[in-house]
Amino acid sequence: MSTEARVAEKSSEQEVRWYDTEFEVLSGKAEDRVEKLLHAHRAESYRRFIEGGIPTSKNEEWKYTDIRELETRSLRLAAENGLSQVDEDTLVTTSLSARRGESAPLDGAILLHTIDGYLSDGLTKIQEELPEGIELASLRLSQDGLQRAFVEELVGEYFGKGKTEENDPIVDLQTALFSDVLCLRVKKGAQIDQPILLEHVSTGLEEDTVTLPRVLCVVEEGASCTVIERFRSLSSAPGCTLSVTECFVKDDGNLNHYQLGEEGEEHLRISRISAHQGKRAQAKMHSYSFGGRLVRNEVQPTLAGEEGFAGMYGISVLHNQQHVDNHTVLDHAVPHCESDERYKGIYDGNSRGVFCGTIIVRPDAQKTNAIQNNAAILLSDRASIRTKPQLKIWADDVKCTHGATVGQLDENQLFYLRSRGIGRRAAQGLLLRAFAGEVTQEVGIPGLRTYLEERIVEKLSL
Amino acid sequence: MPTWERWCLQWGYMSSDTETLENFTEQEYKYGFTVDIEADELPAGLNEEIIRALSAKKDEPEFMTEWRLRAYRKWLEMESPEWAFIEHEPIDYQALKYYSAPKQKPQLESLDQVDPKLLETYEKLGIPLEEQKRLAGVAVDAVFDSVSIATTYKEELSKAGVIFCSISEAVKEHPELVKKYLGSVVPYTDNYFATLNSAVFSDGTFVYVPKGVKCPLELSTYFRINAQNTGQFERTLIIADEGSSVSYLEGCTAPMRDENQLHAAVVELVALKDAQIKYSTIQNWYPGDKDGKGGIYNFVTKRGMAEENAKISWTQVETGSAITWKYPSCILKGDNSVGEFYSVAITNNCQQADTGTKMVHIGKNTKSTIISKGISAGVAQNSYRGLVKVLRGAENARNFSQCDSMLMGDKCGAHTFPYIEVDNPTAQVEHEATTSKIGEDQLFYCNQRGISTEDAIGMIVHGFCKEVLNELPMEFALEARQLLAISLEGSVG
Repeated sequence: MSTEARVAEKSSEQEVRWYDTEFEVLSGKAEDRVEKLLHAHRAESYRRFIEGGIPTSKNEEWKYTDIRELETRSLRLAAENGLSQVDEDTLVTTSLSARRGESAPLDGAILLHTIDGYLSDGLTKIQEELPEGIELASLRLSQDGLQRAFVEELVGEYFGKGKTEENDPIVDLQTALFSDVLCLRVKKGAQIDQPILLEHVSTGLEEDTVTLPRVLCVVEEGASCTVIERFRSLSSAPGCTLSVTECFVKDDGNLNHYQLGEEGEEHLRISRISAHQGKRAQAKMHSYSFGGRLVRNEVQPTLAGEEGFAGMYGISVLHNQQHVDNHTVLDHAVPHCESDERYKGIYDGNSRGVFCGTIIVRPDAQKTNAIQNNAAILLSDRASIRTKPQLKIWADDVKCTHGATVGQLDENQLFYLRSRGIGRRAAQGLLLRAFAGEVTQEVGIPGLRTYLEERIVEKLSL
Repeated sequence: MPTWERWCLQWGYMSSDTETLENFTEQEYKYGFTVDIEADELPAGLNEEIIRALSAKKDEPEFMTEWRLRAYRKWLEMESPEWAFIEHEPIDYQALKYYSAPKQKPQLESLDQVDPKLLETYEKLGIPLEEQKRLAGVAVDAVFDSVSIATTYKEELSKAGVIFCSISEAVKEHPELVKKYLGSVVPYTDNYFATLNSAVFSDGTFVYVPKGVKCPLELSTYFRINAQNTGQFERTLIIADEGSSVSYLEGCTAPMRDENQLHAAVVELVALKDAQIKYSTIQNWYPGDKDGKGGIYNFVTKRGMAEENAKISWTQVETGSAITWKYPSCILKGDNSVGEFYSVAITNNCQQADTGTKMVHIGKNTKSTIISKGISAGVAQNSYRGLVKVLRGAENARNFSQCDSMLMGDKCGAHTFPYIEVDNPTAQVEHEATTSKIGEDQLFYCNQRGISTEDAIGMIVHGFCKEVLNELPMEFALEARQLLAISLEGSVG
């Protein structure tokens, strides 16, 4: 059957999905110039999305992660009223920058919240205290002239430009329906030491709601900053999060991006982080997955300027029925760039870990040096792993390697530790901490590193 | 020129100043010629009538005809696979002829009875049957187009109880074995090309090694495509009964032509308890000219089933064909079974190769090794695609994979698509892949010691592929080195 025939058959079903209804509602809302601009993006993405619909496992990119439930469940967009029903002060005290005893993992961070995908009103207060060199605004909250102009400028110049060659149906769906955009710009040469902590909170006030946070982050020439996105939920109600973060790191810029998945274990999340890098730009992207039932972290850096560096690091620690898919596409588009990719997984219970990492080296990207490594440890006989590291290379003068291993803790090492009086669990903990160490050592903030190491051990109840 | 002499020349043991770099790159397909032999053909096209006619021509029993028809009906429902990293014009299956046999004298017992024109062809190919017979002690079952012409050493083999014949013969003479094992590893529903093959397979080789017998000879078959527009659908079935062992060699060349030829072969290996099968291939079919015109489309399904303590080893050197789509696989069903895959795939000019292996670990303590070397030159695309699957019950499964790619020239591509699926925590799976080019420093080192650039490249490439070439039987190792030299040297300037 041809594609057209399939589309025809699909449309003839006449079945209205949740996203159709939501798109209808959103269509009426475009008011000012920014909204109109965004609406053009929405309409275009929606049109593309409808052609293919929710991908099935026949789609090679979705072979190991089944998200057909996005089509069949009766979902709806989370309403804005979550904002009024959540007390922001309580959120602050449970965030990573709040003081927990002596020191918080991210003490002194610039703290922002999205609640069910909408930037919370706390932003207004933060905007007044921002350090020199940062601009922050949200689509929903920016009503005055200056901020609106900033949003318009960023959206006009960057929105939707972070995607790689192929259109992704989930990104298209997110673009068609997203609720709010956080616009962030670090100005030329500004060195921002304070990490920017963005906590994405799903309230779960109602079941089966979809939250769609979106971030546009521009690091200008020579500037540097750290952005931490943490996903969490306030209740165990099953919900969905589809998030898209587009980063642009200009020449000599430096970005450290973290995504921490700590949502409830009934949650479904698909996050896309893209980074478009200029000359000598550095981007390090970290993905830590602890929570969620079905999680997919997509990280897609594009090295578009010479002498750039992209680092991707991730750890998934899973148990029960959890499923985490780390899906990366690294695009070496120009010569003389380097990349380093390290993903590790520790899988217990019935969990499944997926790693799919693609490295593309374009025809002219000579002198590329790309390293990719993926290692997994299975702790239970019901856990499973699917790994698909890929190299697509069109240039000859390159060094590309990838390695993948699957195994278990070395009995000899365990025996060595136990013969020295260390209990089995403690010994396992030590070895797993060492296993994770190759990735966690890349975390530049000591407080955050300690926090993550503790989370790993805690999650494994060792 | 005798084989060894050509080989010496290409490897610089007898230096020849006239053979410059350009000569190598522009080397036309050596084995490109067609021989004018009258052929017995069925009209072009594919339908149930053709299949019945084909089956009737081959004088097949009823069960075979039915099997073919079942496959054909299944094939009609299937779609041509599109996932491989290759591009080609759609194939018009109705334009192909599905049966073409050289007019043959009924029974041939010695080489004297073979059509002298055919023998001449083999001489040109550098594989004279007499020489093979005398020198190597190799039994040669030469498949010319679709029907076996001559089988040598048959008597010696039959003394050991080994059945080595064409599959059409086996269908008639050993129907119980064929019925039991044909389609047991690659069912007729397996995939588009295997299903097509099941419906229309013309001929192929059948080997049965009885219990406890170590096959006294290396078995080899030379495939050759000759008549215009004839897709060649080989079917090979090798059965190694308990405790037996066999080594099978397969090498191919094909005449030059303009239209693309389809080749969809199926090879099934059955290694019963404690048996060992070693299957080696050198494939040097017409790859098309420098602009990618012509060339063989090679869509092959090869799979082996290993029972308890059995071992299956695939070795392949793929230098020809416009398109290579081939994944020799091992189903490690029995406990302690072993699967191996050694491959060198070379693509030059416009060639495309998407090749690799599948190792499916089902039994306990199963082991597999994958060594794949891909070399890409010109504007060719070379992909490794492999699957290592460890099922829940496969305790202590062990896999090691290594996929190295070498790029020559800045317009070619080398791609790696390994899939690893593990459902058992005691499994140890390792995968490594590297991509590199021949270093300037390596060339410089050789040059300053008086080794010419092309010789240096030859040495480096040979070194790069050595792990695989070492796995080949002696006779093939020689031919393989020769092929490497022809296919590659001079691709880098």
